[in-house]
Amino acid sequence: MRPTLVKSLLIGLIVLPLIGVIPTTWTWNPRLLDTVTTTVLMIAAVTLLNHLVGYAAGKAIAFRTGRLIRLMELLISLPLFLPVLLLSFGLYLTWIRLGLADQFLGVLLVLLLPTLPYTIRIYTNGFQALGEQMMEQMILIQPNRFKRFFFLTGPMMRSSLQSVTLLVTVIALSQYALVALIGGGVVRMIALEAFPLYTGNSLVAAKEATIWLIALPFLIYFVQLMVFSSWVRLVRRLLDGRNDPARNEDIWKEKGVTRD
Amino acid sequence: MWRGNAWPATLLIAGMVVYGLFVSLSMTTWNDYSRLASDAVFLESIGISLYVALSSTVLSVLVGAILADYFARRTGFTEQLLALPLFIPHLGAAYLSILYLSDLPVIGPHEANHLSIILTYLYKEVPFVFFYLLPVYRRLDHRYEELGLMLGLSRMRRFWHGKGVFLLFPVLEAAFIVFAFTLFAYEVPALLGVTYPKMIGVYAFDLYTQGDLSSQPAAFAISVVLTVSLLVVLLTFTRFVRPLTERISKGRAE
Amino acid sequence: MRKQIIGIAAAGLVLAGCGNTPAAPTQDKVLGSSYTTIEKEAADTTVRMYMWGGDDGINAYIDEYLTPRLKKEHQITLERVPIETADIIQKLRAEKKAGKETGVIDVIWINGDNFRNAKKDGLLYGEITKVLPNMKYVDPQAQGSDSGTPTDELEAAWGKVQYTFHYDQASVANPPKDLKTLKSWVKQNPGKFTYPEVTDFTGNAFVRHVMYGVESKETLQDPKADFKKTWAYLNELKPYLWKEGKTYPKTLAQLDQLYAKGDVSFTMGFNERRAEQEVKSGTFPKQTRPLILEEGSIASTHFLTIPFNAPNPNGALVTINQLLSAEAQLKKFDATYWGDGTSLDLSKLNQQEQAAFADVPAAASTPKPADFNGKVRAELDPELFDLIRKDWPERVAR
Repeated sequence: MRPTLVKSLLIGLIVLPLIGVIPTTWTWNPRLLDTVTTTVLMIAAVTLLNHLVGYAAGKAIAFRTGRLIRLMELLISLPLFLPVLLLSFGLYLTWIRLGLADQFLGVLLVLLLPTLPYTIRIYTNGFQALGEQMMEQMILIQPNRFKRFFFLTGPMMRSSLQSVTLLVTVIALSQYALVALIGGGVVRMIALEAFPLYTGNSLVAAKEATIWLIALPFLIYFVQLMVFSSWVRLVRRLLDGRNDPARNEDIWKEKGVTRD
Repeated sequence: MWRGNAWPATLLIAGMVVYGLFVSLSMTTWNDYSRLASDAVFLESIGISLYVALSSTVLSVLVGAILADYFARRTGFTEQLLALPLFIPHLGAAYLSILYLSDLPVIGPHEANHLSIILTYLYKEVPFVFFYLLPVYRRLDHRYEELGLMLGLSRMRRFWHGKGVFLLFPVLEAAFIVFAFTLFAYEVPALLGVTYPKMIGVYAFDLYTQGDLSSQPAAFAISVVLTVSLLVVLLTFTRFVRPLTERISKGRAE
Repeated sequence: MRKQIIGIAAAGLVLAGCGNTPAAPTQDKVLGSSYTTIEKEAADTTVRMYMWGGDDGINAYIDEYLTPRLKKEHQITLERVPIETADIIQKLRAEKKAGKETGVIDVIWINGDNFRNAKKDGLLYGEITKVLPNMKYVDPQAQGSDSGTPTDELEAAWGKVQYTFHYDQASVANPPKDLKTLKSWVKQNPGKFTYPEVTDFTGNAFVRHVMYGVESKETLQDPKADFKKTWAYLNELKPYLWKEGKTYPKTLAQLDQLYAKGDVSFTMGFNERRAEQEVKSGTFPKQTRPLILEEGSIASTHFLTIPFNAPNPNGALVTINQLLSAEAQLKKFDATYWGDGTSLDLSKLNQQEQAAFADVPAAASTPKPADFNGKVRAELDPELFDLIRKDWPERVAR
């Protein structure tokens, strides 16, 4: 395969289809504002919870041994292989009794099912790539776990963190049936707005909702990039003097850290 | 404590899965299952779902693996293009299909061959498989194949000992994830599928929501049957394939 | 580690506890009070209206006309939630089963089998029409029964429409007059006709029109009968339909899109005026014309109701009353947004209002009142809706 051929094929099949959703007119629909707000809040909450729970679990799966952790790994990956939507029929009745149905929190919990297994997989791979020796080394350098995360583990796991946010955002945005069922139309995510429009009679309205559906992951990813670059800049400034700027570029890449 | 803690994740996920399964089970009687076994509409729905899921899986794993093999040997910006579909929610990909394929014959939406659904999945899953396998391909040690060449092994055996054993488990895993997802998904087939037969996710959701209460046990029964059968496949998979690949690839690990 | 688990569990419980909403006012208290009190109680509240959301014109009527009006006149914040009616009923059933006394739905747009199911399962609030002042304008005939199920004041008639076919005169020179000529037209023009699948409201009604045409009166009365003539007629059409009948539009909206693109020459639906707005906006072909089959056109009334566990019944009542006002009905009737037939008895309105309704022009796509002479048919037993949904996939679509 010639590189140019591959490149043009990829551009033609992957990039060109996106031209159709570039907004041509800009109308501001107040309904969409509410929906976008709820969606962004929900994504922020689901992502945060994924990071918190998934980070710890991914580390455990990567660094612990024994039968128990293998069993836990299997249990955690179950939603990847099982019909989550169908299982949620059963959950829904219970959610009503617990007062979780039609609630932000209820949807938040159910959205963990299709997202958390991916998160944990990404973190497990990230920690495995980092390696046990590296972890031990970092503990020697910085015993305080919060400081350690801020100065060392966080920046080094940057690509895992970024992938998790992206994947969680994209999966959560796609859920129509789950959100309609558990959120009961009260928790209004974009999918709830877009889906009826796709089977509706107005292509313009459908496109308007799709723009958000596709733009949000890019926006969120961009915000995350900004956060990371200021994080890294802050870490550098705080560690100033210990590293000379010429080497900084490499230090936070996985290979560069083995300097000591 | 630095070794992490998998308890919260396990409790959350296993709790919801097991409990959801338990409630579904408690909503059904034995009759619902025997009726399901002879329900032609259900069986045809399973048939079409298997067709769509299998073709989507085989094609996306094949293309994804070829691309991973190709890009593992070079660096550059081009592979980043493949990340683009990862940013698009499935619902958005379905919209793109409606937008571009609607006026086309054969591959348009709502055709019995379901090509539009398969194409939508390919758009999303090929990049998924690609990025799932790329690190594996990059970690492959080419000296194994060179060794095979020196020992005068056949092409097939060279591939198997140099690459196959290391790829087997990740490829199967990626395939399994794509397969289960495409088999049960609701949104894409609901928007692009045909009137009859419906794919299983859509069929079960319709049974659950449409009409009177009488069809609800059937929806729960479908949920239980599918969950249990996938669970069996999964357990067989982890029980046999994993120890096998681990045994073979031992010595490679650091 | 155990501490952490307990911590998470406790946090979960606390958060779950926060989810409980304050209880709604009791049903007898609300329905026993005067409308003035209801209006006062409804001020500064939020009303959630659940309705099918696939029609841009209908959505715009709610979002652009009703919502600002309610805000201004009653300080009510209206939230439109686009969910299929059958899904709403299912949700209420689950809530009833689980004992959820305060739900989230305030107003539902409903009719036909969904109403029958909701009534049968006790999912509705009560005799709401008794307290609504604007009920005095509503046509008692429309209000009396919903597809044969007595409304028993559980719901209020919102609109009244006739099933009407629309065709493009540019491509259909000699429009069929009845089911027989429709069949021969379809055979001569393969691929140019189809109907939505029967889970769709309009598609289900198309099959009922075929039933009216081909089955005997006795069979029509008996939901247990075998409707083989109906299935036979539909199967005769099937190979000549759009995409050779291998698939059907999932919704009326999709059929409309096919019609708008010229892929098919016919569309159909409840509401004789529904094409006006589409022609005006350039979506439908300019030469769109109406067609009423000889076998008749089913008259359908659609309603508004309140579920048993509505969190804000006062606000729901005010919203419904507002929608039954002459002004709201006129806005719904003209072609700006929706063009939906009114449920009001026009003779009960004042002269000015009557004149306003009479002044709404009828486009060429709207049938004249005389076109319906002797052709208005009552809705069939809702049991048949279920029967069609169940049998059509196996006997026709398969």
